[in-house]
Amino acid sequence: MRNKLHFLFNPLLLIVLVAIITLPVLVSTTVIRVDQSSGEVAGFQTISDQELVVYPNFTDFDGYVRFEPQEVMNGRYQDTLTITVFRNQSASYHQIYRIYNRAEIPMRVKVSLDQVPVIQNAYSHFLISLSPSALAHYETLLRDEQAGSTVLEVRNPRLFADVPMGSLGKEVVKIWGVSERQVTTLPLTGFYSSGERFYPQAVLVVDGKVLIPETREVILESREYATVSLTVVGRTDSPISVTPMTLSFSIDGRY
Amino acid sequence: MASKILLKLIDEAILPAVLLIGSKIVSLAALVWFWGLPWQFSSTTPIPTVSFENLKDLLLINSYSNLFMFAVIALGLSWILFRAHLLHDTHISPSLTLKLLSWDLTGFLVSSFDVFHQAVVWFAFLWLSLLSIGLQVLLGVTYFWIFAVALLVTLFLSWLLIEDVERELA
Repeated sequence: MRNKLHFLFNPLLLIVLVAIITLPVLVSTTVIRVDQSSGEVAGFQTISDQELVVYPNFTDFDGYVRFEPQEVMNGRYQDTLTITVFRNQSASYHQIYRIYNRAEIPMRVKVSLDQVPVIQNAYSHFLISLSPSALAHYETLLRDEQAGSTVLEVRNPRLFADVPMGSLGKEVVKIWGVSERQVTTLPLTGFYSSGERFYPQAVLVVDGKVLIPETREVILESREYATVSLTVVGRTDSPISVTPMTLSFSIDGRY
Repeated sequence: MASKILLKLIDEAILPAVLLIGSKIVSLAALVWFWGLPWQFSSTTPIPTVSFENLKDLLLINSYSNLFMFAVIALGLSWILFRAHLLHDTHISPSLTLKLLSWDLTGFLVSSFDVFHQAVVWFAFLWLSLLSIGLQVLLGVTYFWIFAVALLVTLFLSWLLIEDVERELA
């Protein structure tokens, strides 16, 4: 009997030894992962082009805008957009895209800039904003704001709830919080007059430098849609009055 | 009767096992804090996990935490090899022995029985960590350069260990 136990004991010890050596390595490999609810599983995304549907606005800007869309793959829509920049003018391409959630469950969507436009001396700055159809892309200041101001008055401050930053003109504005008709921010560095557009986190590129690379994330319920708008301000000292500017960006969807 | 070798190996394996898991978790926490990446903790799976929003964040955090974890194991084996080369009681120099005696550090001296069991265990952990990193590179969740660095370090330490064993056998 004793010999039988002895016969079993050492293999058991060997199993324990192998377990002590291999289990920590296995545990350390599996302890982190991608969030399953986002539709990603270590390299796989499950959003198809039937679920995230993006419509470029071919009709409203014919002659001024050229699209080169790629198919939605793995929840990502990419486009290379060629737009016209007007010297010394601000051109707004409102609702240049519509993004539809055709899935049965809510989807999160954001726009990210892939490449900064090469012809940077043709524009002063540009901005790409994303907003659900029911909300505006921006609010306007209700009063003049001096440099150093930290409380901005707008009609609908809810647009800035849960957003860490916004933009006024060429300035990135860090947002602390919102209350009735007011948005609390870090001190402004410039003066802005009443009516100035205040965007909640939009892609912002100033003088060729990317200050904000992606928009806020918007949650679209099933069958809802969001719109993308683009505003580009031409330089006053640009040598040509109208020039095409090409920029490359992605619209990302995830659950 | 229980095998002395197996019991000794099990005894020596506990410290590197704890260090491996501990270093992975500590580096994970530190890197997440440093980069401020969003994460979620889930205790519903058999092994509690930390999940990230996207593959890019996972790749970043996992790569550097693997590097830190591997570095801890490599340092552990390096210490064992250092002791095997310089503080092994079979070939330590008399002058060094006297110095250790005068400093009351004779505890650092190590016998063949101890050092080779420690070396085997840490060697196993080193190679398993390397294989784990290699697998994660294939899965796309670790940078390739980390595997390359780990491979070079592993080969170097392996060569040092083999050289010490050969010297011992000679």
